[in-house]
Amino acid sequence: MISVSYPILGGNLAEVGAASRLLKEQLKRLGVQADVMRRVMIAAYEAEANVTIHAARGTLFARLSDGRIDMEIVDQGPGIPDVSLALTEGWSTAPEAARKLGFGAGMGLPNIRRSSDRFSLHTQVGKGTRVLSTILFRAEAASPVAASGCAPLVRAERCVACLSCVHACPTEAIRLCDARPSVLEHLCVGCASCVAACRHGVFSVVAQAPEATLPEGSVLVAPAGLLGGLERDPEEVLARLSRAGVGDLRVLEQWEAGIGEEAIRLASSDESLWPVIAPQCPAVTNLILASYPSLIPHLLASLSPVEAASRELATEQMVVVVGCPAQAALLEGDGASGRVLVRTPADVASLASGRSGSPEGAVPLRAPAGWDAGDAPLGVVRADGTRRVLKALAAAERGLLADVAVLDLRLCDGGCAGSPLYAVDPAVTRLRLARAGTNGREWGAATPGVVPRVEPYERRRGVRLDDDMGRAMQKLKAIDELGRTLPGRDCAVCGSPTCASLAEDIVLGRTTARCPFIGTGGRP
Amino acid sequence: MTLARIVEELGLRRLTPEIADREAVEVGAAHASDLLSDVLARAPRGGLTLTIQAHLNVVAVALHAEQAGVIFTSGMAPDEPVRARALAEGLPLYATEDSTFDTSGRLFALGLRGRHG
Repeated sequence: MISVSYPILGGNLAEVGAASRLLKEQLKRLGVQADVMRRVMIAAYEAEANVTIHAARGTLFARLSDGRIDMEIVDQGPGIPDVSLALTEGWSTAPEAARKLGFGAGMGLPNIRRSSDRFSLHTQVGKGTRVLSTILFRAEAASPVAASGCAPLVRAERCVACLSCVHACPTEAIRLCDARPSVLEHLCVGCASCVAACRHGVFSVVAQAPEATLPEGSVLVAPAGLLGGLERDPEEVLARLSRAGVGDLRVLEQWEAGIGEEAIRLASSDESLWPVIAPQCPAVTNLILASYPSLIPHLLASLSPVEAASRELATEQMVVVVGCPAQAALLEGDGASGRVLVRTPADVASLASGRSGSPEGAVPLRAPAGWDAGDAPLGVVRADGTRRVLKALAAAERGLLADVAVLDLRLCDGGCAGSPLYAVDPAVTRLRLARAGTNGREWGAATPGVVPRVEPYERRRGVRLDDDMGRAMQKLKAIDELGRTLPGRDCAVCGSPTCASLAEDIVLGRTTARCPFIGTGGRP
Repeated sequence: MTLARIVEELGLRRLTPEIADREAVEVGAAHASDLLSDVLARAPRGGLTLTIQAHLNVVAVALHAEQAGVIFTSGMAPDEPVRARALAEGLPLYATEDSTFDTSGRLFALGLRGRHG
């Protein structure tokens, strides 16, 4: 992974693009392909032009890692009062001096957005603007699969071929070949099922190595359960985090509460949208986009809790404790400048340990009043865990849940604090937090921030069997015929989760494995 | 058609004769626009850009858009720093007294189009 940053001097209209040019030179040296380069350059140049035209100064951050380039262009300019207007093609606020030079077509932000696989914009009038652009690319241009970007990190050398992960994956995304597990990105939703299932540490969330301290004054965003999950005494955890550099702690439930309220509001205004699905769990959202696209209209169009947190705290140095690869993936684009650090509970645990002594200047803990209400509000049906979530989605798709106002679905049992990345059961952390009480601490009244999505939800492009319809039908027929010769035990010994998926994998050339039980009547 | 042939056919004035060896390339497309974002987004790779904007940003954008060359029309011509930068980056520059409209028409007659293929 390579990170670079270049300053942008505002006002120098005669020569725009110095920073982009330096970035281009770097990327050329690294051998980035031409078409990817062009998209990166369009995004970088336009963002740089915006800074030059409107702001006094700014910085272009870029981070190149495996299969992606994340860019963040930040300025301390005037900010953008009306974002949707700014994103409209043809709308420009460029001053005359800039227009004379050919700027001001009003295509800047639309061009950036069009060139990017992921795009977001954070702005505050009077403070500045932050443009985030992520461009994904694959080394092999031949691959027709759209990268989802939310797959976990795989340490294949630890695999013992027990097949637990292959069975555990709710979307049948894992394949095993010669004791090397691989994740099919177009199927992966970034939940932590494989992380939970594997007893040998093959799967993990992408995270940097834990440091001894965090940037001074960081804002830590985590589920409240983190406090009860590290030490027995939440106060002690707070004190240690404080010494590790954390300046403020915000619980994720704050943003969850906001989303929950907004979902209820939406359900109240339009019964035809029942059940409204609250986008609390990014893995569930990915699951809907990939496998239940008919439910997309039911999804509340707001950002997930971690994204909303990153947006609301756009000017702060943040540390976000994630529970799954899906959350980590959502924040990866925000990390080009190093403003948003993604950590696992284990990383924070090592931070918080090994420091003893009296708590001094402990971190304030802020959470909305009633954040831990226990029971969900009336009309909200909460279902946790893979089995219940899949059942709920299937039922919703069949129209069986039209009398349910809001569905709150979490793939991890107990919500984020129930992620397998936490060593302690969420019920225990709840108990510890309740025991610690408020201790005069100000828990309440932080306004939940619901951030509406700028980009609409998009159905994930499934892998077509073949671009040519005729060949696709032939393949379908071949898969069907082959499938009928297989035992139908779905034992996964071949490395594919089900006999049907083995048939597809063979016909599409994904595997050279064959069923070891053919010709044995399906018995070993 | 090679860029060299195009230059001859249109009677374009070479502003960067030092890199005339670049004219061996085949050019089949061109784009006419004075708005930088438009060139950046739409100019076909390996084509020519026609413009009356004769400043450094045009060179920067033409390079990003991987153009084979820039034709300044209507008698416009860049100053020395712009020419020098184009030279350094290997981007041929040309000038013509004709308007963008007429120049576009001539290029179209020679077979160039707004996009490849």
